[in-house]
Amino acid sequence: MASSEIAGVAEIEGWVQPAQRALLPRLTSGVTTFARRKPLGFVCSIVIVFCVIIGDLVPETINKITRTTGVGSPVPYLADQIEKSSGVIYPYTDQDLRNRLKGPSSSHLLGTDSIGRDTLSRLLYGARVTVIVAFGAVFISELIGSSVGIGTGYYRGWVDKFAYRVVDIFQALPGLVVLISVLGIFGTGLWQLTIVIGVLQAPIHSRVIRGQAIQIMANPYIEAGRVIGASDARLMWRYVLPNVFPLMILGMTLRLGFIVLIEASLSFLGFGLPPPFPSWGQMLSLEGRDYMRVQPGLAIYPGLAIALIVFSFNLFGDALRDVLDPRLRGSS
Amino acid sequence: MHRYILERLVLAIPTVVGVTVLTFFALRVAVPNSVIDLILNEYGRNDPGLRANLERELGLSANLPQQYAEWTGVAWFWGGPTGVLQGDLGRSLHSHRSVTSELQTRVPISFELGVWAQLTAVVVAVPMGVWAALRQDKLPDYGLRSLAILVNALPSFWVAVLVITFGSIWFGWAPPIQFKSLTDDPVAHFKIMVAPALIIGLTPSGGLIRLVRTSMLEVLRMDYVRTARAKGLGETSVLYKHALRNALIPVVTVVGVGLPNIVAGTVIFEQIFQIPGMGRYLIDAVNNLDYPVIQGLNLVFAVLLMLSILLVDISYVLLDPRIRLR
Repeated sequence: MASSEIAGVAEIEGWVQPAQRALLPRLTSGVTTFARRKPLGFVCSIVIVFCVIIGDLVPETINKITRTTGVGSPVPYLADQIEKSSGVIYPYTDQDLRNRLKGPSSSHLLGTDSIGRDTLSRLLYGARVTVIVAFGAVFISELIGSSVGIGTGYYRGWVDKFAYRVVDIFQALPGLVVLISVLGIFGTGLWQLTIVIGVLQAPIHSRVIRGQAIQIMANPYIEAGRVIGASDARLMWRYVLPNVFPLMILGMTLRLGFIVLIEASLSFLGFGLPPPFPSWGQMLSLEGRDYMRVQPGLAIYPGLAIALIVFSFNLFGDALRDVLDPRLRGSS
Repeated sequence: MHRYILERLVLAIPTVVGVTVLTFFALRVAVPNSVIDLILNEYGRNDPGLRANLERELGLSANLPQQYAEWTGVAWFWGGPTGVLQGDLGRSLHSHRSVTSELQTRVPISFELGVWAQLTAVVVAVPMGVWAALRQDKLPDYGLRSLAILVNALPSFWVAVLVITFGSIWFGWAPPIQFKSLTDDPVAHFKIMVAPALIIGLTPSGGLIRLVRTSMLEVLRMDYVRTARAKGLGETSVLYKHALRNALIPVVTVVGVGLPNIVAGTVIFEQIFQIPGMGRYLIDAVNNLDYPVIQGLNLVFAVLLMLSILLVDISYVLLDPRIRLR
């Protein structure tokens, strides 16, 4: 876009282009407005950010990329740093066999499990699975769902018909049954979990995006774009995408909590990460039932952690929806 | 109406075929290790003769399209074995028992559990949602909305674990261990079903309270409600005959479309409460790569899901005269 030309024309008409503020002040003012209008949603967003930092989302992603491409050196994990410096966090495999099934104490803040592993440390490391699967799966489903949604909404016709036959097939597959089938067969791991949940979530989301894309296509500015010779790709990228973007963000935040619950259920059933790496769902699994009677904290803390993060995701999503799209306020 | 149902059923055929193709070929092409290797590992031997025998015995020796034709029962038309089209889902590769008969005893249990769960959710959530809507922005409204959000965030399997672990300590209640079917001993059967049904119903009820509330609020602002009031109808009549009936239309959708997913979700609760539904069966089948069982379960659920979507669409017409007249 030739902005200098527009500015030139505007000067003649005596119109001054409003000064574009830098990104950082705009972002901070946006955040403060959000905090003022939706205090509870803001608190939830802080909880989410806290979990993202604790869960090592950024280092794990960077390390995954460096491992697969072989470029760059691994980034240290925050959890490991805390473990080294704090004195109350231990490696998640560390067994303190003299203190098995103990209640909270100064050396084990939330007690220990049946083989003397520290509950707080395992919660801390378990946050990684929750956060990475939630954000990763949402990102993947968003990527696929939005591409399909925008593409079909843009082209319509036989592309649309064909794509939605395929989407129908995916939507006819029943949630948990398919997830268990796929994960049980293809093996489990952090990235398998993320990708499988993400892919299976995509079709539902693509319908929402498609609906919005069809509405956008009816607008005059699409026709105007065509007239000035914009290509299909440009129209989709610069005209349709920015207009469905709020909907994409909403779809993401509103589904994060749901995905956390799916991941926890799968881990609970034993289709999550292989042991010894902890995850919140797996910490609740039925094998530990007899120990939970002795040490109730084993059953209570992981469940509370899941409930807290799902609650935060849901409330944050609701608050964001109210701010982004006032028409939808209070719906669903 | 009949034409519409027929049309929908015809349109569902390609989807069902797609599901069979997807599950069948995904299991055979994309899976890194084969079921034959698994079985041979159990025997601890690996000689080619045994392998060929086993493949022939399990019906895995033919090429893939032929196997697919045999499984679906298309091959029956030119003299092959019966298949899905004839209502035969094949035999388990490990226990050699018929998948159809196994599912006939298991799926109804899961389905029943799902129905109870959804029913309790509706029975609890609809009055609560209506109450919240009638007291909009007052204490009951805030209380119920917060409750709904809280319940929505609770992992229901966690609640189940807490109940089953601490139920005996805290309330002196333990879930019955021996499962009784509905026909054998209805009282014992309901005793077993009530706890899981209530717990599974928690999550959907959270969403339903919010849904009923918004949809009720929307309907209460409609012209026809004002008309009903203006012509002097009693408040009960306005609320329950004019408003609630229309407010429940979106609820029907959510309940109907949600049911198959809830039934699929019972897997986890059947594990916790030791109910012999299809949960254990599925997990064993997945761990043993029991192709016919996995395919059968996925197919049955896909059909269930599509049927419930169809039923929802039909019930729309019955509930909403505007659609019927169109």
